[in-house]
Amino acid sequence: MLHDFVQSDALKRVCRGLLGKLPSVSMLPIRSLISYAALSPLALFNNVDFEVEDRVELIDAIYDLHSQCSSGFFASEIQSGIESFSYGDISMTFTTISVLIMLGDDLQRVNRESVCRLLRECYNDATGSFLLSREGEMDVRATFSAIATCKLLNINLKEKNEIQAGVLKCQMCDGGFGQSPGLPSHGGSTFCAISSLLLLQEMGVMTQQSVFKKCARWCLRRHNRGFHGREGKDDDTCYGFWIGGTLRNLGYLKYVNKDRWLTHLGNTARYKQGAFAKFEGTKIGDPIHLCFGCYAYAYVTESANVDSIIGVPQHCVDAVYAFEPMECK
Amino acid sequence: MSLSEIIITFPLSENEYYKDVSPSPVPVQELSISQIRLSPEFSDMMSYMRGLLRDNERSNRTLSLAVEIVKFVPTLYMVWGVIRDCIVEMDLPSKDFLLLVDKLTMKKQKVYQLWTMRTFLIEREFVRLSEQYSGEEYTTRLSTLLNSELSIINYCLKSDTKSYHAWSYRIKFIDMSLAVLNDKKITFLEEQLSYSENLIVGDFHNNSAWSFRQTLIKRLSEFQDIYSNEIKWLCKILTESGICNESAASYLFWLLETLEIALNEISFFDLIESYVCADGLHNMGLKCQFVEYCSDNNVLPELMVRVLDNLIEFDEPRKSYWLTFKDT
Repeated sequence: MLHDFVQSDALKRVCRGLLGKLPSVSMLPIRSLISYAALSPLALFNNVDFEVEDRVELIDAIYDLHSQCSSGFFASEIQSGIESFSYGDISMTFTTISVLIMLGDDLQRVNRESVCRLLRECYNDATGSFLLSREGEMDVRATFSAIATCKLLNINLKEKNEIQAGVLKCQMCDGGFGQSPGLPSHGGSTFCAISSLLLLQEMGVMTQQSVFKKCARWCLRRHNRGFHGREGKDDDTCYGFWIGGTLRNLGYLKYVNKDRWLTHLGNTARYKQGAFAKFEGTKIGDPIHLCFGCYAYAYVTESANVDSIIGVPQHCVDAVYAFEPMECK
Repeated sequence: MSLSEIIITFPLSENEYYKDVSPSPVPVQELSISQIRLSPEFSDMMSYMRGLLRDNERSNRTLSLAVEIVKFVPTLYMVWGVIRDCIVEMDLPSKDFLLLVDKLTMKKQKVYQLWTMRTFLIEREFVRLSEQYSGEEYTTRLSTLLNSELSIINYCLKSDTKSYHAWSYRIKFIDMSLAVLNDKKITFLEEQLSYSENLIVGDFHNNSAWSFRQTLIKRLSEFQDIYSNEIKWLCKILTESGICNESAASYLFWLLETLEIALNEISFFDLIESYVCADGLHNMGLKCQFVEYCSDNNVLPELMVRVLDNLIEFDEPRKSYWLTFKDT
């Protein structure tokens, strides 16, 4: 049933709807995230070319806004045309780049100098961390977004060791990672931290295996039926992506009880609505859990090839233009 | 005109405070992905605010409009940035805006932007107090500020004991406070330690309280030898609670690692042994970490195997992990 669900007309209708006009102004700052959430199920199990009308024009529109941003990609178009506020947002830059590659773009038109300006604006020397934007928080979400962006655009940061050190400070005694040093371990920040460390390893900065082992053990303890993000919380569909993905990245997914996980996903699937819900008892699905529920399904059934470190279908990453390395000055 | 005099009425083109502003409408692309339909009031406010920003105006009317927008949509970083710029350029007192942030936080805690703004305002307050006051008066005013902030955080945590935003801010606030408390750092941290103990005693499963305690102990260890006392505290808590869950177990193994002592060297090893030998599903969090600890340190092999067999039988989600563990 889940196999049919992720390719169902109901689910595709929801995704296409989310790519169209959205009624709530509260979604404005996370518009790119909504696009990412809507495209992911289509890119994973369906055919974006077929399902998304005007794909090329949508890509052009994204680049049009990008050209108006002095650094990276805007959080939202309300900043466009206002010189003092025409700066980008690191997590929305990464999310928009993910959206572009899922739409079938190869990122050649991304202004890498502009992205480097954003990285420089947001990098903090003292902590080895990044701000989400000039006005935003400084935590491991921003670090992940920065490093993943660098990976996709082949940008080299000279502060890789400092960045690694900044991430490692976020590991708590239980093995999980908090958003910043001293904060409780959390599934989302653990994903961001481990993905950052693994990407930094690909860039030549190695992390001790004991860090990964301790974290993998913490992640395994998050597994009940599905996964929960913190000790004492209920299983939540989206942690199939954050925790399930981290276990996959660390080679521990084989230890998960897949029958229990599938049962959980089946119990959070809202078949008629065409979305996954947050908890088994939640009546209504939502875009975020639709998206991450689909990734979770891909992981547990191995039915789609995913770059689970970055969190995008593998074929999208493979199609990215082979940039020459660029130093981030 | 002052902030309180400005009343936002629509359309702004007819509002006496804004009718001279040339608005800059939010650009709407003919075709774009996940396009947001902006309500007429929001479009109106944003157009006029963009007009004011385009003209580089930082004034009461810019600020009033920005405040109105964040009441509508509190998640817009850019608009909070405008508020911040206005506060700084016009050198306005932080406390009025703290009231705004308080009000919005009571409605909805889980908004990052509110806590980020709060951090900015409190940092500013700390600076103002140190610049304007000294001696006894500075100490009294600082104490009032600390107590008031902690009350707000405590209120938020009372309504949601696991609020990540509130815990995150609490730790940031503690670090901000430590930077300004001179000879009162240790007292302050000990008060927070007492707070963490009350939470843990009240709810042993409050993982956030355990994490918080770990952070406090690390801070305190910079000033005094705390770890030896802390392991005695843990013994007392574990004895009184009758259980050892995952959070307490993580805490125990962290202390052992920090103190560089073995599990079977601690005075309450018998207690831990009784917990790991509990039947069925009891103390699973401890059992998991106990087996891993024994394996990593090559200790207590017989007890480890006994507990491992319990896990294989009862820990259904991780059964295959434990079976592989046993094989290796």
